[in-house]
Amino acid sequence: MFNKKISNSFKHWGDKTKKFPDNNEVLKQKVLDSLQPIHESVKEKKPFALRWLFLTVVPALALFLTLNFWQNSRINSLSSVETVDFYEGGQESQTVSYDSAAGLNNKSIQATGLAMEESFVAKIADKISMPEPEPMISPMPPDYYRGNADITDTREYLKTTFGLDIKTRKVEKMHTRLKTIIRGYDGRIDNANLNEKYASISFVLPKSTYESFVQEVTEMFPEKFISIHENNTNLLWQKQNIEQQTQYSSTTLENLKTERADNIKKYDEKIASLNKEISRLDNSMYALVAQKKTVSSTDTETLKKINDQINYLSRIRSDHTHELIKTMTQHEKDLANFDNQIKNTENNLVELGKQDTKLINNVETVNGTITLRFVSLFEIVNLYIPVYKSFIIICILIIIGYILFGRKTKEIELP
Amino acid sequence: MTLKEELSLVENAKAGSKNAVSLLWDDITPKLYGYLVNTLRDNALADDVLQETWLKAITSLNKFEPRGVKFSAWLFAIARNECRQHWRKNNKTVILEENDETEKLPDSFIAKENLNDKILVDEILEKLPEVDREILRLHYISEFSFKEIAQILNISPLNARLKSFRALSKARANI
Repeated sequence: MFNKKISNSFKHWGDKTKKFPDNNEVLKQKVLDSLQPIHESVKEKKPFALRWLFLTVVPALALFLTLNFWQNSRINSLSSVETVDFYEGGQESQTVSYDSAAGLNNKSIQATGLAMEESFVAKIADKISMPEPEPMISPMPPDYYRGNADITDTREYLKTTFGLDIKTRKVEKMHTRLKTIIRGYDGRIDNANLNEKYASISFVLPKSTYESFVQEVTEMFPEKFISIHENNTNLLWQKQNIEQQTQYSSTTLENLKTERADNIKKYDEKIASLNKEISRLDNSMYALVAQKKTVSSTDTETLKKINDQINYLSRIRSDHTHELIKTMTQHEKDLANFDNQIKNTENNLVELGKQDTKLINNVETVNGTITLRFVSLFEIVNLYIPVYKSFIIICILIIIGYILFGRKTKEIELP
Repeated sequence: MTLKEELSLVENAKAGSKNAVSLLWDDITPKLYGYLVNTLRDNALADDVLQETWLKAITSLNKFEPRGVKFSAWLFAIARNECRQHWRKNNKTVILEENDETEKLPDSFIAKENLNDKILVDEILEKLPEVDREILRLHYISEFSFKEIAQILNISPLNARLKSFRALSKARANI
């Protein structure tokens, strides 16, 4: 208000100060007399319009950088969406990615070894720089078997794998702290690496403590500094495989036991038959020997006939005896074979029981990997302002522009 | 007078039109003369500088390039330069430097001025440094915009606006 009053006073003063000189007409005439028409206008060569060049280049560069950033963002998001679609369409496994730009899905595809990943990456490789390879969370089961899982079976044996990438400036301190937390949640550390700028921890946790663990760890860091990956895979194919093998082994065991019993029965019958025949031959031979004693020694012809009969019966008995021995030997071998097969099948069943237990234990635990990376101040800026490079370049250009053109107005050339 | 009208007259003047020069004179001279009188504090000297300024401008009219600069601004820049040359010839300090201290006018002159004109603004101006007075003169007597003042003083428009604001603030403080 007061400033306006002063300003008005100055305006009033300015108006009052304006005036013509006393000898205005004389001075004016002198000036008019000095006027000479300019016949040839000297056209000076205009200097190169640096201002216009600058004013054209800066917006063009800003537009280019903005479009470039927008295009990269779009390609990154597209790559994430496509891989998720492909992954879900593949099999029964579920992939939940909290960070679309993390690149987990790409790693999962690498694990499956499918051709689509190659063609997709080849398509965009020239346009974008892919994120650095990250440790694979879990190998996926082979596709050739997973395809055989019965579609009507709706049971779920979800195996969870967990990955957490953390950017921090205190790698060593956080590494120690995270190990303590894992142990505090009844976890087991399987592998731990640490150097100045990178650390990793591989661990196993009970599924019951998993949610609390994730909550505690993620609350330790700002949201922009962490990237979580979680993969849930249904291990029904493994369960069905174990069940089928168990059923097959049980049937085999039953069959082997039945066959063994049949074998013993047949053997006993054969042995009894042979023994009976041998006994009959022995009786016949005893009768012939008794008859021989009653025949006169001069009756050579009758004696010869009896001896021939005894020899014949003796040969037959010998054959039966050999067959008896052979049958007994073969039976021992058969029994050993049956016992061996039964033992193997029983062992197989025990092993399948162990696999089943292992599967359940596997499903009830979570395998996790935490990586810690040192983050520079520039990277921190980048986390919050992803276009910081473009931003800085534009700022520098604006400052240069201001220094060149904005700081001072064009100087008036005096005659 | 608008920039377009002024430039049109300048073009006619370049072609030798005395009428155009006359119109320019009538429009610019009151402001320029008021400025010179206020700056030099001497009517006779102001007459000389006014005449010298116009003669220089007219003889060098072909050198005037209207790109972004008003003819009146060009004329004021010439006048300002003439004032400097006058002070240099008379071994006086060039008082239009930015870091100049408050000009101490002769007591007799102040007394005379005070006697003749007791306007509040004059009293305020007396207490301000010459740099601030220059800005206020160009803005309120010559009615130049901050961009044109910046061109005359060879500073940025932002700086011109800032200086004007500071001058007014100082004036307010002096009251």
